[in-house]
Amino acid sequence: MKALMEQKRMKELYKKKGSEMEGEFKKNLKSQLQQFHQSLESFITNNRAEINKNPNLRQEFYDLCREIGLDPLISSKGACSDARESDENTQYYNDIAVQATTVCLGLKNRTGGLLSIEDCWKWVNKLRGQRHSVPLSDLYRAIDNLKVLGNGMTIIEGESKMILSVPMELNLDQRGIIEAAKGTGFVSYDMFHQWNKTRFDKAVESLISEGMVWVDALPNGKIQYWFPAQSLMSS
Amino acid sequence: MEVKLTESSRPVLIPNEVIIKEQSKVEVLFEYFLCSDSKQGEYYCYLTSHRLVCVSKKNFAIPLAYIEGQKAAGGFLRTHRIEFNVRIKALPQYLHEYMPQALMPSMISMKFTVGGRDEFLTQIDTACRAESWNKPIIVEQKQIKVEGYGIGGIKQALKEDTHDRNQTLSAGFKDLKSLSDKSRELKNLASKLKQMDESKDPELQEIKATMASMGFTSGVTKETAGKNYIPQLARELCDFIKEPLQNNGGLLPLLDAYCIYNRARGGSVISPSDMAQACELFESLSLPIKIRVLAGGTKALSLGGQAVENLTRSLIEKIREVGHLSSKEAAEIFKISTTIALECLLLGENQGQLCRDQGLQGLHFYYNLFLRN
Repeated sequence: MKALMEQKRMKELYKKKGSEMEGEFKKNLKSQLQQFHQSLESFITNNRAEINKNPNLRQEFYDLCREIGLDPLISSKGACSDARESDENTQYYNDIAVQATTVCLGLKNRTGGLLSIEDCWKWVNKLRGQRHSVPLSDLYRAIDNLKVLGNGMTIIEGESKMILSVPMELNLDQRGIIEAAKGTGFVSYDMFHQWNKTRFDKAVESLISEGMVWVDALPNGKIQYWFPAQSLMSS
Repeated sequence: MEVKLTESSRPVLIPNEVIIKEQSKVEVLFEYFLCSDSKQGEYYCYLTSHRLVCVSKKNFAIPLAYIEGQKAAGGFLRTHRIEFNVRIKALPQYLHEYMPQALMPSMISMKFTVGGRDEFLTQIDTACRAESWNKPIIVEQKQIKVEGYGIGGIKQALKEDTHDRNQTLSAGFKDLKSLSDKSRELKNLASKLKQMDESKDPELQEIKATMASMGFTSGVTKETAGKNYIPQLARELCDFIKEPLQNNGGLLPLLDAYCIYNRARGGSVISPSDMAQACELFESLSLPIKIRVLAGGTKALSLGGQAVENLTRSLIEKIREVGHLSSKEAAEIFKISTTIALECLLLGENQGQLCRDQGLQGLHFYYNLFLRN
């Protein structure tokens, strides 16, 4: 009996030791991962021109970034004023443009191609990391630069600006509904009592069929219309 | 020596080969031992880490390993030239497939009719010295060795493993040169460490997947191509985008192409206007990809001239088979973007082959039954 108890105790001890070691090992790996990220980041901020100039190095370096999941497009804005467009600034806005397209393309399946500019901004900054985050006004400008590639990405003006990355014209009613969803992430007919039901339904239905709105029928018979584009970040 | 070219006449690269410099309008002169010189005509030249590739109606490549005694010639009142001797040497085994033995001239003279000689020569010197072709392609991975027994042994092994990684990290990131030398070790380390990155953000994962989905291209830059930057960009874009295009049913919105291509280029991003200019050149360079403005005003790249029509035809076939389709369903079946699917369906409607049914389930298209009569 005692021998059995002893065996059990030993087993537990081993297990404890094992998980202790695993924990320490993982902690080490994690800190190394961070160190890796930081080293790559400081390399690219200091030597990007140098890296891009040397094709061999370029390939190897960006392979590394890809492998570790670091977005290498983290150049910062030049000190030069806007009037004289420096190379540094061109690169800066190009970087943001590519990041914005990446965000819209990556989230298309979720959002149906409609994303609020604030959300897009947040994701872009998430890609860039905190130390390289950009102001919203620069994102606007970067998206504006994309106009030469055809109207694949449009900003819908209004109280809350949205980016539309699928080709579609939104009418006033549809815009009204999108704007009303700001903050809460959803709309329901109660919020539009000055509209008649047909008008509301028509506008909402067109958004549903584009995949921009999801329907949530509540047990009390009410229907809420949710915008995944609006609620992604708030959740 | 024969050279394989891509569809847009850029050289097909050997594993690990990169393009270092491009130069247009170079006149090449071959001199054979005990024979008269033979003028080869004007070429577009690529200097890569492995070869000197000359492209014109007739193409040839010379392994850098063969090049000896390169020097500048010409000068005052004469066109700038580079002259070098060619001596055939044994190449590493893996290169035989890409650089078969061939008859070589004993001396070559390159005439730079539009300048650029000095930089080209410096780059040849550097590339010849670097001997990239002698770098082995595969590097063995270090295994964790367990020495000793029991907990102590395992602990020791883990400690050594951690220590090794720290070494790699600190040595690899010392400066650019060490980064380049240690890149393979660092890459192995990166793939190991990445498994630890358990960020639980599904949206961010999806965005990052878009970022990482594509491999690398050689990446034409203003530095390597100079004045030929935009036309060469058009060629490279064409070669690169072909595969994504095929995976997307032959049509890709220009904006998506911009994102994918730039992501593949790593950090040397091209501007939207460079991209737009390059796309304008597709037709005059007679490249296989066309730019199309779709009915909604969106610009898209298409494979050949008939991509939209072909796709529309197969969509109509599918609709006759299953009854009706929305743009979403069509996009899923044909693995194309919804933008493109809708365009094709609308085209089918314009041709009178399809008719629409708009409802809460979205816009659905049916086959136009009146056509039967």
